[in-house]
Amino acid sequence: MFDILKRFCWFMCLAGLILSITSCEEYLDTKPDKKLATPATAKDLQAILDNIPRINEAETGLSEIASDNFFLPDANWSALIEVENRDAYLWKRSPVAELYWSYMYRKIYDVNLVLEHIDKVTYQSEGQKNSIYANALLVRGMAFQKLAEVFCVPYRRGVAAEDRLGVVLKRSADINEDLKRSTLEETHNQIKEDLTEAIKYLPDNPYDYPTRAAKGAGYAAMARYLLSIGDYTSAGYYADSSLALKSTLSDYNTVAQIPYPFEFYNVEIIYYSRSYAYRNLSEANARVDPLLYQSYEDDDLRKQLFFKVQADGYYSFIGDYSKANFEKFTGLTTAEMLLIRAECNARAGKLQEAEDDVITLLRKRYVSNFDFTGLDLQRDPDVLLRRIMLERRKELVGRGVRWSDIRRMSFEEDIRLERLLYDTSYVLDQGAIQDFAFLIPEAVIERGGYQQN
Amino acid sequence: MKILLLFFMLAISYTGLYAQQACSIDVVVVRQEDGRAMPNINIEMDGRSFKTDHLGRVTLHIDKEAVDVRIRHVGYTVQTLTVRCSDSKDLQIAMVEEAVEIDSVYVSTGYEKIPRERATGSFEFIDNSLLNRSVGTNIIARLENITTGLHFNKQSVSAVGGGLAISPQIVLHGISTIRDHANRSSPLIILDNFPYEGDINDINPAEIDNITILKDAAATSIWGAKAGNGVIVLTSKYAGMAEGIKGSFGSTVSITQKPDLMRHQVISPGDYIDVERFLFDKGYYSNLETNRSRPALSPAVELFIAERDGTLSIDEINTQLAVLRSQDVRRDFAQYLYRNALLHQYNLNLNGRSAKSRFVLSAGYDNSAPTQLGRDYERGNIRIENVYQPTKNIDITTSMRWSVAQARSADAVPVYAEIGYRYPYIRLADDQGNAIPIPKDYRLSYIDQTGQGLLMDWHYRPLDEVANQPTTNLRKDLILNTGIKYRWTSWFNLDLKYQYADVADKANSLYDLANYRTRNQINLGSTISNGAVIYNFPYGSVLQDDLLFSKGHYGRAQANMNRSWSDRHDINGLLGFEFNARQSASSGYTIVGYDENTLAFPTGIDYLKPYPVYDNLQATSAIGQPLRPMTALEQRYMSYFGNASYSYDSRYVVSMSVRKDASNLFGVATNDKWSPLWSVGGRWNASKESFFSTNWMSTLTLRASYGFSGNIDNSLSAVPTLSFLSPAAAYLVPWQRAQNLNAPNAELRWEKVRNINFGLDFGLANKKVSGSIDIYHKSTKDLYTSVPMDPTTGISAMVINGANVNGKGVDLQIKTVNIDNAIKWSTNWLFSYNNTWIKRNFKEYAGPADLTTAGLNTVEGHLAFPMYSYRWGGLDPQTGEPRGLLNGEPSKDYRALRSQNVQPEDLVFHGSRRPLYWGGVRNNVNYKNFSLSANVSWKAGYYFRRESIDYSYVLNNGLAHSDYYRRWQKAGDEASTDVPAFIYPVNSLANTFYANSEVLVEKGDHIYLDDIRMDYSCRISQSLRMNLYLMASNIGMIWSASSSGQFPDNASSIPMPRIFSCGFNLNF
Repeated sequence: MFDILKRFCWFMCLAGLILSITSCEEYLDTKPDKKLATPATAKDLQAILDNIPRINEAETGLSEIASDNFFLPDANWSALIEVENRDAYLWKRSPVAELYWSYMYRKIYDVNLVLEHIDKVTYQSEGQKNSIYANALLVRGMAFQKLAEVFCVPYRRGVAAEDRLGVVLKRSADINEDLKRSTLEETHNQIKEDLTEAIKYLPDNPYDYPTRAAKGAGYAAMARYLLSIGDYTSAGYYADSSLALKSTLSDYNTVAQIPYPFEFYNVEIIYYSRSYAYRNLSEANARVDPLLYQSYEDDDLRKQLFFKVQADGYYSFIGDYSKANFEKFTGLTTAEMLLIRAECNARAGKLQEAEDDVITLLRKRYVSNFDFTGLDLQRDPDVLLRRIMLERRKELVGRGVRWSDIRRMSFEEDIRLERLLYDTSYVLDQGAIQDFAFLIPEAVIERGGYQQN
Repeated sequence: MKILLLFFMLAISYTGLYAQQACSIDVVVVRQEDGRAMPNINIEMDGRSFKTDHLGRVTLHIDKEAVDVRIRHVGYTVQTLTVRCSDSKDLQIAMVEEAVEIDSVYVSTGYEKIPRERATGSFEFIDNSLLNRSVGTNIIARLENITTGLHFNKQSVSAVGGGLAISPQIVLHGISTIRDHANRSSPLIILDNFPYEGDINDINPAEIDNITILKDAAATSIWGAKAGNGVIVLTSKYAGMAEGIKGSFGSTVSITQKPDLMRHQVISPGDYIDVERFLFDKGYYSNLETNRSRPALSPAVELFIAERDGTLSIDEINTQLAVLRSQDVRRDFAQYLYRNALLHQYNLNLNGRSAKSRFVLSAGYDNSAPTQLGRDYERGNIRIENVYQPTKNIDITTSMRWSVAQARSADAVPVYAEIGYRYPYIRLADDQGNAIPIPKDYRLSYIDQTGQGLLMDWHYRPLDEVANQPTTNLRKDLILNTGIKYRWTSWFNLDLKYQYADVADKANSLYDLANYRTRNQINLGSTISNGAVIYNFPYGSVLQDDLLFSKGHYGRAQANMNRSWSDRHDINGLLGFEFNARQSASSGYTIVGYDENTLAFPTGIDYLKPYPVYDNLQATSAIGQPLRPMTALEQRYMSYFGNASYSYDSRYVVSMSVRKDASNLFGVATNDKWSPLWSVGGRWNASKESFFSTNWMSTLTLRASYGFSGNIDNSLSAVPTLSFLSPAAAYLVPWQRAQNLNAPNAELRWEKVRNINFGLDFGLANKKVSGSIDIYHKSTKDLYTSVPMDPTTGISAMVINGANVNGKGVDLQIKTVNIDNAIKWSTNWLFSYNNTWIKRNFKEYAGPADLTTAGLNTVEGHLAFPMYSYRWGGLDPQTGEPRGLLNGEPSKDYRALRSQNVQPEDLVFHGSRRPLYWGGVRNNVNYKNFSLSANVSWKAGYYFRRESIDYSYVLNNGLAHSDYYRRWQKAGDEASTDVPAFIYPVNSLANTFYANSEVLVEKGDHIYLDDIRMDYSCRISQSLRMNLYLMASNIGMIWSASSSGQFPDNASSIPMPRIFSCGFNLNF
């Protein structure tokens, strides 16, 4: 009995306390969920950027789907469930699957949120603030670039692009913002601006894991972008800057001859990212273009490390730096920087430097006793350039960069892409390449009211 | 707050003025039948009238030797007696019920009990006997088909689940909050005084005496911002009023039949093998064959591969195929994985009274073995309430309610799902009943030969998993209540209540080495090197514990008054303040390499370190964080409320109620947190007017109410919110990650529901016909809706205040006494009508895809849940592909057919997706000690989409609907069938178009025989009565407008299993 009375007294005291001392407002200011936070500290912002599955991965795989590195045997094409993915393979004028758009804009939303809070939170150091700010910009710039690569027609430096459609430049986290598609010019100005600003503030020293970017990654992203729009002088400059900070290469002579041979974060990775393309690029479905496979010499270690023969006699790609089955590694590597610098030097007539870079790379890719003296690439600028382009294909399988190479080359030579499916040929000729852009997913057009390609 | 204190102080000072009398007698008025107290009973004495309090008590102050007292109450025979001061000072008066008792009830709002004749709102009262007519273990499920206005949405209820708690979504008076989260649209459940936030399955129905459903604003607005979806008040059994101890003991046994899987509309297994042959020839399986993860292939496909590769002779292959063709996985499921479910229930109830205290004790035990093998469930409940009365004007109530529920399950046992079973012809056991391995994750041919005999057994045998019940869910639910009521005067009292609720939910899973899950994990983490196995994933059992605690504090201070003047004026009122805080926290861990015999586990494991997966079946893997992310949620509410009613001469009643709520809604400025909600109501007991004297109508009452209630969702936020996640193990990176949880919505407002209700209660022909009718109009403003967003915003969907909707409806219930002599026959007729339509929409029309699939309509002025479908243009005479109509022409351009240019008027509008009308008829026949009753329910005015062939299911799920036989196969077939041809590769757009086309829409109207119950009751001795009963439920469809053979509520062809129960009840 006393117990009950005692408890009752306690309750009265408690009620009294709540009524008198605590104001109702304070009582109701408790967070409904302790895990919830409005971005308030640098740690919060950094945690958004470290959410690898959203920030570094799920990049659109359309650029690799559209390229000629892989093909789908008839049966595997038919077995693709989604009609959108069967259409994308044939460059059909039909809207692509929604994920190719929404996953990219999910990244952009995340980094916009970071950017909006950049001056509202407290930091441990100025360096921390700069790094978060620059990483967010870099992710956004690369995302716009990736989107422009597949949803816009090719952009050429110096060629007016005010009358062509760009992507939707979402630059705030405000979900009620009124949006429309920018011009191609505006899109590319934005990419350049984001990357330039990012480079300014990225930290000099790389992080323990390449999922966060440092200065070298900024230079590398800029080099890849500038190359894609044919700005060779600047691309070479940035590739060189990146290599000055990091030039480690993985020597394939020391890589074990086992299936899926590469470590998860290979030493040559400057920045880690990965693309997603449903089953279109999965190891079981996609086969490597036989001509590409044949272009590897027997002494080229990649021929064994990269490929696995399938029952149909064709090869699957197993040399991915992310070890994945469906996804493809699309990050930046020192090897790619060497190739960009070599190409830009070759185009600028610096043949010796160009050849040196190619040989530097190939020494790590061919058997160690291979004799490169016979190559003599600098005898002819054309031979050199063709070799560099070939080396790009051989080195960057699955990275998504082949598509931007095809697009810029379509302005330089007569290039055509062809698919054979059930004895029917589907062709994307030079003119069509110059004019090609995937159609924006239906849901985006319908809910956002944007102009379709 | 100051007003409240002032009110208390005034009340206290007033008591001092109250005059004392010479002799006073404490009267308790109880129902004769069960000794239950009768509050608010009018006692007339010397031309004055008094009312009993909520415990049926009143103190009569007598100033002369003897006085005549008259007690009148509707539905009861009038009692007249003479009271003398010389008699005992405690007097118990037992009221005897009249035959018909439609009005003799006290509805409970959770704050007070109101006699029905004073209620202005729309209350539906379900008394104990009706509540106990059903025998299920879920108290809310017992309301189905015995109430009006309440719709049980059974879309997700399946006959094959075999689980225990079937909790259909319940919707009161049309739509309310529309969220993916089903619970958010359910009415608020009140257990006695406070919201019940635990699991409804923890409540033992035998502890509950009655249920009141609060429907309109006058009834619900006292619950303010939680009551927008209506309120269901569960009232526990009362502490005894009569001297001595009374009680009851009962037991029930129920048997639920196995689901009849053979009724599933699928093609024969042999025909499915032909489909697989066709797909095999097309190369459909070739990429699976080369996939490095070695995905499982069906036994038939394995044989086709063997045939192609020449590894088996043609004869052998044909023999094996013939065997496969003769098998049916449904037979094995029925034989080995389902059983007739058995449920035992035992209940004991004791109540009594001594000099100063009264108590009630309920105890229950349930034991269930559901239809699906490998599962069982036990529940124990106990509830004790004690009311202690140290002095006359103080009641101290303490109560404790405790339940323990334990569910064990064998998670690895497969379920025969409505979407079919991957291998329709597989056997689960051989002829001797021994378990057979079946394909699950990998090809059998692969796991048979891999691993040099060094790996653990990699086979999956469903039958072996039945006995392996790794998971135990143990939930303990404790509710402590304490309250003190102090009566200053006979008409004014103060009530303080406090409730503490504590739920501990523990899920414990021990996946030992016999469990497939563990063997698979260990094998995937194995590396074979030089004839030895390196276990990257530690060898041993896996122990997984998850804990969820929640604590709730509920407090309330309430002042009640209840006063009559000069026999004509009655004022009842209450004023109060309450708060509640509910915290929940969860945590969990996984221990790998566990040895359950020694409780040892390895230490020093690098959980984030990636390891190579065996034979590269997957990319790199890691053990993963042993600790699960912790959660800590806290909801807080504060409210002020007041309620007053005035009644004049028991003829006119007006009432009003106000409530102001605030909660800790995240990121909303404090000022916006408070939201006032109010209601007013009136009532006219017309039959009490002096001019009212008709023979054919004995009672007539009119009611009207108007007011507001609301809805709040604390999971929503007006500011951007992050949720922290543990580092992603697969990426080595030790950095913490955070994810944007929901998009900020600064314009988020509370849902506000306006209700207008008109009611009429009547009794005709000497109450041979009695009933009530309520007509309501409900309008919800700022309805929470999940809307799809433009993906460019970075968000795919978000909850917004998406629409304003209006609804109207009718609840009608009539009881007719058809025969009333030795044989008594009465019928209850229930009828509900509800129609809800979109008043204003805040989102734009986004094409027909949204309209044809389930979801909230976007067309203003139209039904909220309409059934729209694509216009059918017939099958293509050349190819058998489905066609729609585009500008009047047949078209196969499925994208154009579903594009935004297609307006709602271009589609076929059938009608409502939810029943507009529903109800039931319950007949009760009594003869001597026997009674028989049967319940028939019906639903009408709606449409459903029947299941048909979906070719992507044919490819991926092993499911081919029997419409496959009627598919288009050659030119000309289009004249006789609407089922599209099987064309490979499958066009997913054509599939979706066909599934949402008009040819699959059918009328859902049906009549269903719910149950038949037979009772026999007898008196064994003077103080011992017994009741025996037999019952059959889910008996079957009487009539259905659809000829599809599918049940319209869930488009399933497998009927809900019948349930047979028998039981007894002893009252002493």
